[in-house]
Amino acid sequence: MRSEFLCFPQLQHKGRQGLNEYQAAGGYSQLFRALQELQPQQITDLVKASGLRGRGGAGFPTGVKWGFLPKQSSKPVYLVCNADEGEPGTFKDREIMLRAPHQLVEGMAIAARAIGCHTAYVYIRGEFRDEAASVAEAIREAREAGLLGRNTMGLGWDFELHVSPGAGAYVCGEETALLNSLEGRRGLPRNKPPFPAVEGLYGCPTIINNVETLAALPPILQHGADWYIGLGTQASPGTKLFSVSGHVNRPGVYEVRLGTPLMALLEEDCGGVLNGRKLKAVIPGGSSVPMLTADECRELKLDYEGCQAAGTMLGSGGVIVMDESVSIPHVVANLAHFYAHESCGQCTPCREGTHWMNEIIQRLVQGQGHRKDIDLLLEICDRISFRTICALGDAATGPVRSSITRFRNEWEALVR
Amino acid sequence: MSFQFTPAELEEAERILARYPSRMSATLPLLHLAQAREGFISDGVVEEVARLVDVSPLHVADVVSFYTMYHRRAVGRHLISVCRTLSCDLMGKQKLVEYLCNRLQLGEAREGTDAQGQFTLEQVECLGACGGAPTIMIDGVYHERMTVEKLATLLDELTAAGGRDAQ
Ligand SMILES: Cc1cc2nc3c(=O)[nH]c(=O)nc-3n(C[C@H](O)[C@H](O)[C@H](O)COP(=O)(O)O)c2cc1C
Ligand code: SF4
Ligand code: FES
Repeated sequence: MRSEFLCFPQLQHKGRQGLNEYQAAGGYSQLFRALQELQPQQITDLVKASGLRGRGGAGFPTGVKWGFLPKQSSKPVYLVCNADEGEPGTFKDREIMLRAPHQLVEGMAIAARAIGCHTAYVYIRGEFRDEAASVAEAIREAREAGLLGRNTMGLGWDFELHVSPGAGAYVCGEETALLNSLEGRRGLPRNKPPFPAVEGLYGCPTIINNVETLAALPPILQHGADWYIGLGTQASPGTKLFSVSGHVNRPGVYEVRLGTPLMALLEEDCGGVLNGRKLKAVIPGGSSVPMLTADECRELKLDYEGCQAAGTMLGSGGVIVMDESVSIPHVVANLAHFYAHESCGQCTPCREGTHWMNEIIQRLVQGQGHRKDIDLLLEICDRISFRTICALGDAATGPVRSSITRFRNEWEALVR
Repeated sequence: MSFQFTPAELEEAERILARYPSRMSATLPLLHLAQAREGFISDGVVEEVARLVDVSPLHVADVVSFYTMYHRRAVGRHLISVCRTLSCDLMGKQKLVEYLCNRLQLGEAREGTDAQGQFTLEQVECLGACGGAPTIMIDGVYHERMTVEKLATLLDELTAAGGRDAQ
């Protein structure tokens, strides 16, 4: 078994960890330290030293991001936790919110202390009612125990934390769209710059981090940067949660050390491919990242550099497994529909591109396509890439491009 | 059609408004609060929420149209949302959709409400529960590792219970 649950111990257990249990396991002692012993800058330095990278998909170093906040500002600083969890194949943040909500709350309080924030929000996708209730209950428990709110732990620091719901829109996981949604608007991504660290929620400096990123802070503070670095590889310190779904015997959320071979996770932890069939392809980091062939999977190490070398990305760690019975164009047709549906329509290349890709692909899988459609798809991908406000447009090209490069014969079989 | 929050709902609305420095931020949660009772967002709901968050009804209506969880028209007594995205597709959501279309006699539409106004079927994108694929949501409650047999039992139970179940 590769799964170790080093940073997220509660995920080995079925139930929800309440305040008493969390405190019995040492919970909130790191917040106490953050308030009592450490200067805010020391917390940021420690997070920088740990090498923690954002777990929402982009993998940006967390401590570095915090460092982008203006040094002097008369405006309040906001912290927003991204719990939109909409990337197909990803379902790890949900497990943290359901089972270890206090670890998230403590992580947010620590981050808030580091960046000088007194009001923070957890933006949770609207469908996650149980998850929102679990986090809201944790906030209530912590507030009653004096761990949040005014004069936290009697140490003279005020911190309020609130849950805020989304209402069904994948694009709201994009951080600036999320901010618009949180302000009560349509979830349209904003032009950058200005970056949220300078001008975010209500025009104030704002840090947005993923659930898993923030919940990793208490163990990092507890055990130190060297410990965290030692868990992973040089370029990818620490552990990461992987959501494994599709054709495996034991789908689920697994915490593994970064650098673990993908096949070890699939075979040892997930019990191999469903019904003993052969592996055909894997999307290793959520639906937006390029898919890999079974051969490429044999070599793949689950870390940022390994994925990059293989021509894909670690993304959100959403591992979608496909067995030999799967038709790759059918898979891409499913995702093309997703991206066409979820494009917010602001940028012409994304709006038109995702629409046309979807039309062409549906036609191809119905056997009504032409040979030239395959290259047309690649051309549309080129026209979308790097010409849009947010990364959704690029994301939409991931499955299309990678499937044509790696499984071209399956596309050609449709037009023969 | 006019809509008013009940006194208890208004108290909840005040708690929601107090979380934000801007009233407009309460738009999404207030719409959820209204829809939980009404089942959809009527023009009356739009006006009432607009009044509470201090923006024009036009703005609220525009926001509503952006998000898939808000329904502008009445749905059946029970709302069945089947995830159509990749992991659920790989694990057989199509069988569930076919069963539901047959049972609700929806014909070619693949979505919609049955003649009795009891069930509405919609297909939604990834619900963030792909490990339990195929995943569906009934009246906001997740059901994972769904099979046609389990689905049949669930629908039978809802039919027997009648009415709109507690949200
Ligand atoms: C279309 C789109 C959807 C996204 N969805 C999510 C999401 O559901 N959850 C998330 O944490 N990040 C999501 N992201 C990434 C965020 O924009 C942002 O990078 C992240 O929340 C930053 O947190 P981190 O640095 O801790 O990863 C999405 C990005 C894009 C372009
Ligand atoms: S890339 Fe697509 S989703 Fe992103 S802002 Fe442009 S149109 Fe909207
Ligand atoms: S694909 Fe259905 S829940 Fe994610």
